[in-house]
Amino acid sequence: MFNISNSRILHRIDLPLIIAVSILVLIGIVIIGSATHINTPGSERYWYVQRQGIFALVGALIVFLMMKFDYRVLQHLGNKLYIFNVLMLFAVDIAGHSALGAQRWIQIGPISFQPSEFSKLIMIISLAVLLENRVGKLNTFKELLPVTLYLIVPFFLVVTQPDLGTALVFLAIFFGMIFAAGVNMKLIGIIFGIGLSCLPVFWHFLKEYQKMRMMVFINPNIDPLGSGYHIIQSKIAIGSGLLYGKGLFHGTQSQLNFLPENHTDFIFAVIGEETGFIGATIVLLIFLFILWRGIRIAREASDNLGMLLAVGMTSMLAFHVLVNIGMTIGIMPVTGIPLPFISYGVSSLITNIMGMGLLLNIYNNRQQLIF
Amino acid sequence: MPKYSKEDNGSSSYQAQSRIALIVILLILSFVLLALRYIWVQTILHNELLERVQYQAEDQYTVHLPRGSIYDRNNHELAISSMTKSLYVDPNHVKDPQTLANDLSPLINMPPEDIMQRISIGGGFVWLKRQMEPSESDAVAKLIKEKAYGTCLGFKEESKRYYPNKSLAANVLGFVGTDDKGLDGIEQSMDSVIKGQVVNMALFTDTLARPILSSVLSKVEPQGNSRKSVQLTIDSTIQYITEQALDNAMVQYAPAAATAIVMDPKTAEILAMASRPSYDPNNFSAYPSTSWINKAVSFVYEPGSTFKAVVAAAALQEKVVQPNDVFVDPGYLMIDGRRIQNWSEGSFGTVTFTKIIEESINTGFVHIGLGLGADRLMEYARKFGFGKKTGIELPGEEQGILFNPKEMTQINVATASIGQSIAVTPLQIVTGMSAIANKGVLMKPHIIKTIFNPDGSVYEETKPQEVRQAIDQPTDQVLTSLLEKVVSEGGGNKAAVPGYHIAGKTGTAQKVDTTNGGYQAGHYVASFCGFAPVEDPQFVVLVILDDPQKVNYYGGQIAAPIAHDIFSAIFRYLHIEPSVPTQDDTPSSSTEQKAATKQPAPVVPKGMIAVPNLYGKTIRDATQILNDLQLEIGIVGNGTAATQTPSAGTPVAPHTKINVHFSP
Repeated sequence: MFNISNSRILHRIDLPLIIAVSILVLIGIVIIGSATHINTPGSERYWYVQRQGIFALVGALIVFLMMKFDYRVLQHLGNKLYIFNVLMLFAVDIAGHSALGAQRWIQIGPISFQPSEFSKLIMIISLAVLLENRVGKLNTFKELLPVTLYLIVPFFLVVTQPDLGTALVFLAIFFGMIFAAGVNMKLIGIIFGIGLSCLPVFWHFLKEYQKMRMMVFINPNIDPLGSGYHIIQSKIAIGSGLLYGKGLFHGTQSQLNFLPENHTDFIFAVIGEETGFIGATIVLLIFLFILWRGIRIAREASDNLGMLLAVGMTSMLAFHVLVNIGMTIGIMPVTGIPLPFISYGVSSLITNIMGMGLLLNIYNNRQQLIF
Repeated sequence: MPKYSKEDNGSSSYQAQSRIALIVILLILSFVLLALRYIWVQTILHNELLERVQYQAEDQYTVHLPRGSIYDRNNHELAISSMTKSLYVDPNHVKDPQTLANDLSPLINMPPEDIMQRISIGGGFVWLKRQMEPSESDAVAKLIKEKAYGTCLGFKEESKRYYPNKSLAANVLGFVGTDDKGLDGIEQSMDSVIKGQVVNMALFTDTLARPILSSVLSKVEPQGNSRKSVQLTIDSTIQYITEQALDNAMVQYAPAAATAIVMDPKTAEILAMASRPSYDPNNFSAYPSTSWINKAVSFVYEPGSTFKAVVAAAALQEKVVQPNDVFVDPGYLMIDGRRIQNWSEGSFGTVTFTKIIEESINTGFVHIGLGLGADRLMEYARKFGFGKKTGIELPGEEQGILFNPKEMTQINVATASIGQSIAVTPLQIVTGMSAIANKGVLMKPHIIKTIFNPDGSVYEETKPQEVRQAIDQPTDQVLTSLLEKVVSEGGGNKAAVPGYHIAGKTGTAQKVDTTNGGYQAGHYVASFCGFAPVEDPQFVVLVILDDPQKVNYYGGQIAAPIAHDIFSAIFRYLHIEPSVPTQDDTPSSSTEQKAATKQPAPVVPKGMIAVPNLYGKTIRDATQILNDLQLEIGIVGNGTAATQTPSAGTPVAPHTKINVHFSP
């Protein structure tokens, strides 16, 4: 008797996805430990590892709670979430405090968090709600315009923070989702054409350091000790890892602090240096697996809302992975986009885990032949 | 009931499915691209990146931490190190060499062409200027900031050696080359002990390749954890007294060179060791290399009559002679067809052995030496430490030359008895005389007192080391009383200081002609070696003047007065009270102190000023007193005045500079 109900529950939960994500989070904690020198005596050496671990557990709890609901309740929250998102981003512009040249943090009591991370998830939800009735009906500019306007407001707020990375993530989510919603590809072609021709104007609005990053991306050697430093050091780290790596805690680039931001944005370089090509490939394959699960969930979703949510989540994840890893090996510009589940960063970790919760929920309520 | 039925989204769902398939393909392609790029970085770019790592590592990884200090016995600093900045250029990243050279040239005092030449060497690292003064490095740092030269110019911390007392004890201390290598003196012999730790700075370079010495992540303790410091037996006040006396000798007698040693006979500690000519180790390269030599250990010369103290010791110990034995001095002796005569070129007639020592009568000593014979003569020379290095912790020590007694002819024995035809070093003479002052016990001379650990605890302490009993104590007492007469009544009386018992021996030796053999006509080495107070010898003084050109060349005439100056100044400095009351009013230690209060009016020529006695005055008081008298002051050291030149009572012209040495 119990077999039926049990197997049904197991069948309804995407266990491989949970396992894959858990492995990444654990890998992340180990590498953060190495990058923050937990094997070197120091009073606060466990700080990063502890925080990341605690918030991973908090994330698991949130996922557990999320499973109690049907994702379809989001239908009624789309617009409210959207307004909340705009207000939150606006608040960051006004009251946020800056880190590394950008206003990204908001302090509430003892916790400071990055609203832009959460706003990515909200963006996915509100766009999905907006688009669910427009699937297949995005064939003219007139039809596309309201959706685009819907994007423009939060996009503009993020650009002015300035947070180029999040803005680009918004674009990735947007294009991924309208693509899945069956947008006319001719329209996309025209938009890209206009976008490209507007690039010089866009360039004008970039901050000095962002321009520098772009130029350095094209040729890191123009400023090897300044803006190009990250890329060069990261490439050195990865290049010196070879097949098996130098071993945990033994990467000279990361342990000697040649590699900046080695526990956050450049953590993949630490993986490359200390665990080599094999470790890096394993991480890449796990990401690919998660993305494949995400796409599968999108395909099997019982409705357009689920499909769009899953596509949005998967687009965001894919963009993060491709840009972050591309950045560490010098084929993407340095934009401050963390590696999901692995980079240290509480806001990013919680957001991504919640996204996974959403995927699990959609999977949970998928089209079931059983029914 | 779900809102969307199958019929509702049938076609669009189909479209979505195909698009999702497209996304999967794109994703997989992207990941393959990532993997390919990854492999590219590891293989194709590997060599380029490896080069980059080596460039990061190149040379910038090593830094010399400061060298250990050298102190005198009272912990006054003789040599210290501090961190200075050295400027390097990274020629790979110089955009416009000409502009850079022009900008830098005035700041580092280097012609632009030289800077261009350095840049043209190429590579990633070339020194521009090492060990800069703080004002220079600050100016360059400002330039780097203003003109954004941070990518091609940089500093490295290096330790620089300073000798705060300039030339004081320079020939003992030696100096250090740019790579923290001790090149002479104590710096050389103690190099491995005090050398600054060389740290692999791979651990501590920041993004601009500046070494971070106190990084939280440092795995090696920063700031010279292996850096020991050295305390010498030198007393810098006695050193100063000695050097001042030598400077006077250089002026008065114009010798080619001079050296002096002060030793504590009980422990054979070197209290002072000086050579002339000398140099300033802060700027050693500006002086000829001959001025770096420490003549006290490396000068090999025929000692002449000072060696007679050893011959007398042997003769008394072997009972070849008694103090009151009577000799008839014929004025000269013919040995193996060679004539040996007295320095006075005349006969002293009938004399006792006491008189022979007092007047340093050659014929008497030849007689005694022949009585001893070659074996015993050389045996005692060796017992007193001649013919062998003393093993002092200084580089360049010579061992001198003695005879193999089996090969000695009559004339060899005769000349060796008067200190000719054998060769010694100044250190050997002073060590031998110390044995006489130390009840016949020869001690091993040393100059390193203590080696301290970085935390100040004692790492190693040199204990006084007894070598052997050269002669027994009663014999030594007799010999000492004879040597005392040399100073009180005989040829060494210019070394006498009223109120004190001083024993010693003068020497005047012909210089060997090293190119043609034989002796150089008109070239002499004048010397005096003695100790005081006789009752309880505190120090031994040796003064050697090599080839004096002025006044005359007799040790008793020119070396003894210099020794006198050293004796009297040290008596004052060490507060050694006179043992006999003095009747005359020649200034001596205690009378001079009293003279400060009841100054007898000295006879001063018109227009001249009598130099006041400044003993015991503070720098402030001394300056005031001299200013009031229209005299100028040259201050050395700190504390209260210990010695001065010219001495008190000397008439000098107004505005003469009076050099006063202060000590705490």
